[in-house]
Amino acid sequence: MNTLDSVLAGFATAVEPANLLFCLIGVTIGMFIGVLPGLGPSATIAILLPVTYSIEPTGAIIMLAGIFYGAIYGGTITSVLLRLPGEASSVVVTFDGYPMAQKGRAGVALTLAAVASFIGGTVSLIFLTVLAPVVARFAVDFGPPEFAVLTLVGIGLVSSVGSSSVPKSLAAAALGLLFATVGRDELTGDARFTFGTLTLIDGFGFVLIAMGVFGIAEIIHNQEAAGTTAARKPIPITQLRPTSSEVRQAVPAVARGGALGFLLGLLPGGGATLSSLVSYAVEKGVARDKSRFGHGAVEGVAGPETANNAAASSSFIPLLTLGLPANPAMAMLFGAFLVVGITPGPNLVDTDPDLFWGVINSMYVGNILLLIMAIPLVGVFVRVLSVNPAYLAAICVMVTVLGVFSLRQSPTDIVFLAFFGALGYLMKKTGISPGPMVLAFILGGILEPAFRQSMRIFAGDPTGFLTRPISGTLLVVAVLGFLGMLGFRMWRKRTGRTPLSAVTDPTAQTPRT
Amino acid sequence: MDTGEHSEAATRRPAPEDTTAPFGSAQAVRTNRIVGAVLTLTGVLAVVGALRMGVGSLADPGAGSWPLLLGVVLAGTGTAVGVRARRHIADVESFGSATRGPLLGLASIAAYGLVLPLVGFEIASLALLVFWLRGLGRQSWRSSLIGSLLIVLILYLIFVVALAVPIPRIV
Repeated sequence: MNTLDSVLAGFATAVEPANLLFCLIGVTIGMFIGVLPGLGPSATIAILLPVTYSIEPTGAIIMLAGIFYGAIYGGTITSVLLRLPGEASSVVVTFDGYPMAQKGRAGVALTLAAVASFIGGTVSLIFLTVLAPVVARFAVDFGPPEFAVLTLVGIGLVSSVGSSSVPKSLAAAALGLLFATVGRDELTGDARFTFGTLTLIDGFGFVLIAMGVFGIAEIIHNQEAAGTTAARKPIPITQLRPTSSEVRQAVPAVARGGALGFLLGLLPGGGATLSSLVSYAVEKGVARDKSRFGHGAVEGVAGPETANNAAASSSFIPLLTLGLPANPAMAMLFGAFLVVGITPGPNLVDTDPDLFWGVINSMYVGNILLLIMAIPLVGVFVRVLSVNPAYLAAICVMVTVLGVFSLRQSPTDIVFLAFFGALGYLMKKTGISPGPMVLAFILGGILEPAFRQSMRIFAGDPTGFLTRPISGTLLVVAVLGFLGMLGFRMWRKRTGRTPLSAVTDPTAQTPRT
Repeated sequence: MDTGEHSEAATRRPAPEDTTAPFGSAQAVRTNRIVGAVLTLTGVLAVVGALRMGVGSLADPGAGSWPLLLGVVLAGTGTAVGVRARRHIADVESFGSATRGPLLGLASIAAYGLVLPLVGFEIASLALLVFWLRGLGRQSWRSSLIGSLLIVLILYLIFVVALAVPIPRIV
């Protein structure tokens, strides 16, 4: 079967009534939690991971993917209407989206954001459709050394890009890799870090760690912050249609944001939040009249909104073709694949074309659903904010606890869940982002055997990583990238200015009314 | 006693202000030092454990080789966190009276796991929900009890009736 046939068969899979329903459920939950500040997509996917056991794999992945990109749409609504970003990727939209709303252009801002999101997501998907099989073909020849280098570089980048303290993030990554070693050694059969008991002989489950560190920790952390955000009245929506001059301003921003988002989404550690920040900085950089930014500049909404959705789509490429999750949310989806017994990697497109193309093509459908829902249902989603947080927390805790229990019918796992919840909570409190740890945990299962097998292949000579053409190239690129970042940091320190610092300016300039 | 009140007021302030206030930043630096020490210690323990497992050779890495490497990295990065404790204090949140709720919440989840096999799904869940709604969520007794009963019923229908999860239970 050639690629075109597979793509078309994937569309047939995506529009099967059951899968259509799962897609709708996914994007609706995504919108819902996108609106809610606090509960993010990674936590939600973590809480719902056990669901994948009880429904058919393709439907399960379609639903969880829908939560991921749906949340990015939803986060925009409250950013514009309340200056209350529901998601990290929507923070940037508050800079100009809220001032637009204050000027009576709330409807226009939301329309622009929805259309820009749709364009960003869909155009990025078209590139994904074309590029994914090509990348997968290329990666089929990868051996242990390539995978060792690739995962190591991925973990390194996730730990350094966009994190405030690199040592803390690297320590988190090392901790995640250590957790991955607990249990029986795959290659020698020795028990490791089991403290002489049989409880830990199978190691920690990914779902357990994810649900603890993301799910429980987030619920608990919100519990502490509860009551600090006073209820505010959203700005009413009047006009929806942008004027032709607003459209003219938006179009180039959408084009730039889409290209930027697509590229940054591919990068480990990139993703939706970083690309929305960079897109905002770029828009401000190229604008002739920079003073409009922070006061309702159309480009400041259109660019970042396109970028974050484009990045959300393109970050599926490394996951589906290399088996390399580029950000924590993708690590959750990687976990979902493992739960249903499929390891994403270069062979996925050949061994499970229905799943591969079904999931990708469901995202076209999901983006259309979101575009349809985004504007007419704004009122409904804003009302979500009045959900009683105490009930939400209690229900989330019960669902998480029962979900963990249902995996192995082990009450001890619930105690471990509380342990990882405590760990995640302490990490949040002490400024260590849990993302690198969870990502490193899941990649540890690939990295360690790949590393040890490589050392055997090289007969103990670590320079082998450099002399093999593909792994060598990857390493050189990674080192150059790292040096570039170091130089960038030094330059930023010396000049005290960065493209990203432009992003924080508007909030300082805008008086809080 | 006045110092006690002072610290209470400081911890209640939202995080951004905390980092600029001298009191908050001193606390953040101390937190960073403790975090660094804990990470370093964990790394050292990992190294000790790894050496016991057998490191093998470069050409044939043993079970302890990889954990050894990770232990060294963890100890190194942990030391860096401790030494550079004055930097990156903006992300460090203060611990104080507000931390009690989250800790009780975690304890309640662990307790749920311990008592579930003894008292069954219905009683354990009801207790956990009432604790979260009334104790942590400060809802009225009436709505906490009615809400908990309703949620337990719905969860029973989902997990026991629909998904047939073999949970220890009364009914």
